[in-house]
Amino acid sequence: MAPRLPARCWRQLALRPSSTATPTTLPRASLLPTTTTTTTSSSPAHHPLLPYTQSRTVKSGWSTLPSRAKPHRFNQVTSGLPAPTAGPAAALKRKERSTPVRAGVLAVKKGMTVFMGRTGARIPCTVLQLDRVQTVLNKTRSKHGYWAVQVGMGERQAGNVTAPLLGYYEAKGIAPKEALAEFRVRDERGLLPVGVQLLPDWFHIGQRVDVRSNSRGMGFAGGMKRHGFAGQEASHGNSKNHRTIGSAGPSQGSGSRVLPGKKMPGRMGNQRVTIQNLPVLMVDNELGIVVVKGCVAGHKGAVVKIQDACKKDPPPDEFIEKTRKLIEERFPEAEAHLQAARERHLELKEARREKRIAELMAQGMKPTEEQADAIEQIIAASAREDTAERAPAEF
Amino acid sequence: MSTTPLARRPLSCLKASLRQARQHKLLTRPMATEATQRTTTPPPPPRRPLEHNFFPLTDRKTKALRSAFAVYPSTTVAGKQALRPPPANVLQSLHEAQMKRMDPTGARTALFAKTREAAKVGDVLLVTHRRGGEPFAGVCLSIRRRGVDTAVLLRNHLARVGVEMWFKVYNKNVAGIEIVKRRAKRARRARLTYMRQPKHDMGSVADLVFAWKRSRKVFSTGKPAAAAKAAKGAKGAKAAAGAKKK
Amino acid sequence: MIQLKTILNCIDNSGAAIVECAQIVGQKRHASIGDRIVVVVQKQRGAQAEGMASSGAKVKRGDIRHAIVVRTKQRVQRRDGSVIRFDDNACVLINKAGDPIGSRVNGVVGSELRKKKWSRILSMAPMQA
Repeated sequence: MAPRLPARCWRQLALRPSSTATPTTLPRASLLPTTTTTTTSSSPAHHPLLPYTQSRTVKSGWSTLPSRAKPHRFNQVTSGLPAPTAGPAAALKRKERSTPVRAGVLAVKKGMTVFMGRTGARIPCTVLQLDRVQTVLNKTRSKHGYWAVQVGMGERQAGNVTAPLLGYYEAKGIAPKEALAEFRVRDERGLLPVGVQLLPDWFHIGQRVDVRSNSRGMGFAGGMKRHGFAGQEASHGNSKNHRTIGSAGPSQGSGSRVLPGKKMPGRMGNQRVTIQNLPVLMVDNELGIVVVKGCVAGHKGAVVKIQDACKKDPPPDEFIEKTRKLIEERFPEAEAHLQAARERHLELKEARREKRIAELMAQGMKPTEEQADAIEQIIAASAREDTAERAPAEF
Repeated sequence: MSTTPLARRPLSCLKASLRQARQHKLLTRPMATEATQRTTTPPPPPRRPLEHNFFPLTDRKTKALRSAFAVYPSTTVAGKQALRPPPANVLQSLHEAQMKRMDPTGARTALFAKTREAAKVGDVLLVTHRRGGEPFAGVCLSIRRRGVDTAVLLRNHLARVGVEMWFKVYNKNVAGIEIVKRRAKRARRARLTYMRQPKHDMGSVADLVFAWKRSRKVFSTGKPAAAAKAAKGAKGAKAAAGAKKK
Repeated sequence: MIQLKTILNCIDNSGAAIVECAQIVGQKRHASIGDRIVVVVQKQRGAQAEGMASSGAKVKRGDIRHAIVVRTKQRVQRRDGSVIRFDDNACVLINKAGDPIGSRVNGVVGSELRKKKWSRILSMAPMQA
C-alpha cells in the first residue's frame, strides 16, 4: 500500500548511527510501534520500519495510492512539493464535484408520451419503469479504489445465471437480477444498505437527472448515414460511387497512410448515450415509474441508468435525508438479512467444498415441488452410482 | 557535499515511514476492535429464517449433482415481502389518466372514437381556440390516434392560400371541436393527402361554416345570443352535442 | 426552410411580386416564419408594361431588400403541439430599420410573427393563422 523503502535507505541508518544527521532520527525510530529498532536485513517485508502490507496479488485489488517510485527527497511527503495532480487519488479528487452524491437506479424505457399542461403547453416525455431495483454491493475506496453502489434490476431465472454469479447472489441474499450496474458516488455517505429496494420516490419532481442508455443499433452503416458525409454526385460521369466515402486520406508526401480515427463505414448505434439534465416530471411508486422530460436514447425495453445530474447541484439535503429515512423505515432488517445470508453462504460454500451439498439440499430449505423431485432424483441417481461402486460422481 | 544528501535521504525516508506507520496504526485499530466485538457478541439471529430454494447444477453427461446454490425468491427484499413486478401497461394507464384529466366529460374521446357517430376523415371540422383567435375550420385530412396525443389535420383556404393545421385534440388550447359537415360517402383512405392536389382540393370551407352557423341559429329558437355564443366558443360537451345533432 | 435561392411571394403592396432569398440575417441555416432575410426582387407586381409599373411601385426589379418571412411551406410547430403549414412561401418587404415598405398586406400570415416581435406586420394583415 504505502511506498516501500528499499533496503539501502535504512541500511545506512543502521550501519552509521553516529552520523551527523541521524541523532535526531534515532529517538523517533524508537517510538515506532514495533518491538525492536534493530534491523534485520533478511527481508524488507519484515523490517520494523516498513508498514504492514498484505501480499499484493491480483485479488488484492487496485491500489489507489501513488505508485511506489524510487524514494528521492523530492517525492517524499515531507519534501514540500505539492500533491501529485495525476494518479487515481488525484483523479478522484478532481472528479469529486462532478460525481453525484447519491446512487442512481436502473430502469426500463417503456416508451414516450406527452404531458398536457393546464396552460396548454405540451411536453413530450419518456416513461422509465423501475422493476425491483435493489442495491447489490457497495464499492469502497479502500477495497475497490472508488466509491460506488452496485444496483440490480429485474429478475433472471437461475438457470440463465452462471455459477459464479449464483454464488454472488447467494452471498447477498437476493434473487438473481436481470441487469447490474454501478453508480459512482462522491464518498461513503453515498453508500446504501445492501439488498434494499429503490423506488421511484428516490427522485423528486423537478429535479434534474442524467439518463444513460445504449442507443438503437443501426447495424453496419455507410459513411453518409454514420458520419453525415456528403456522398458523391449522381451524374457527371460518376460510376457506381454515389454513396461511397471517397478518399481515405492524402497520398505520397503525407505518409500514404490512413490516419488513425478516420471516419469510415462501420457499426452504428448501440453506443452508450448520456442525456444530461432531464427534469423529472412525475414519480409514482404504484406504477413504479419515473417520467422525464424529453427523449432518451434506446429502444423500448432498453435498460437505462438514472442518476442525479452531475452538472447540477445535488438534491437538497433534506430530501436526501428523507430518502434515507424511507429506506430505513421500509427495510429495517436489511442488515440482519444480509448477515444471515452471508453466514448461510459460508455454510453452503463449505458444504460445496466438502461435497455434502446434496445432504443440505435433502434437509431442505423449502424447495419447490419440482425442485424437490429433481433433487430426489439426483440424489437417487448418485446413490445408485455409489452402490454400483463406480467412481464417485464429480461434484 | 556528498555527506549531506546521504544524511538527508534516510532522514526524509524515516519521516515518511513514521507518518505512514502512525496512519497505518490508526487505520488498523478500528478493524481490530471490530473483529474483537464480533467474536465477543454474536450477531443477532434474523427474525425469520432465510427462505430460499436450491438451484442444482448437474453434470451434463452423467446427470450427477455437481453443485447447488441457494436462490432467494425474487419477491422478497431483505426478508420482507415487498418486491413485485410493476404493471406492464403503464403507458396505457398514463394515457387514460391524462385523457380523463383533460376531458372529464369524455366528449373529445367520443368524437374521435372508432364509432359511427364519431368524426371521420373527409368531414369538415371547426376547432375553437381557447385564447382568442379565429376558429379554424377545415376538411379533416387525417386523424392520428395516440391516446392523449391524438391529433387531427385540417385543411382550408384562407385568402386563397391553402393552410393546414394539426390540432392536439386533448390540448387545453383547443376549446371545442364541432362537425360542420359530414362527408357524403365514407372515405376509402385513412389519410386524404390527395386533397392537397389542385384537382381534388376542396377550396375554402367558409361557405359551409357560414351555412352551418345559420342553421344552428335557426335550430336554437329564441336565444340568438346563446346560439351565437355556442357557435363561437363551444366547450367539449357541446362538441359532442353538435356531433349528435348532425 | 427558406434558404439561398428560395423563391417567395411578396404579399404586400410595395410593388414586388416574386422575390428570391439571397441571405438569412443571423446565424441561421434556414429561415422560418418571423425571420429576417435579404431578398432580390425578381418580378414586379402588375408588370405587363415594365416601364409603367415602376411609377407606383416602391421597389423595382433587381432591388436588394430586407424582408420578413410570413408563410412557409415547411411545418412550424407551436408550444401546444399544434402545427401550421401553408401552401406557399411568402414574405413582406421591410427597410433596414425594420418598418414595412408597403402599407398593406394581402393574405394570411403566421401568428409566429407576434412571438418574434413583428406585431406591426401582424396588424397590417387581414387574417392570421
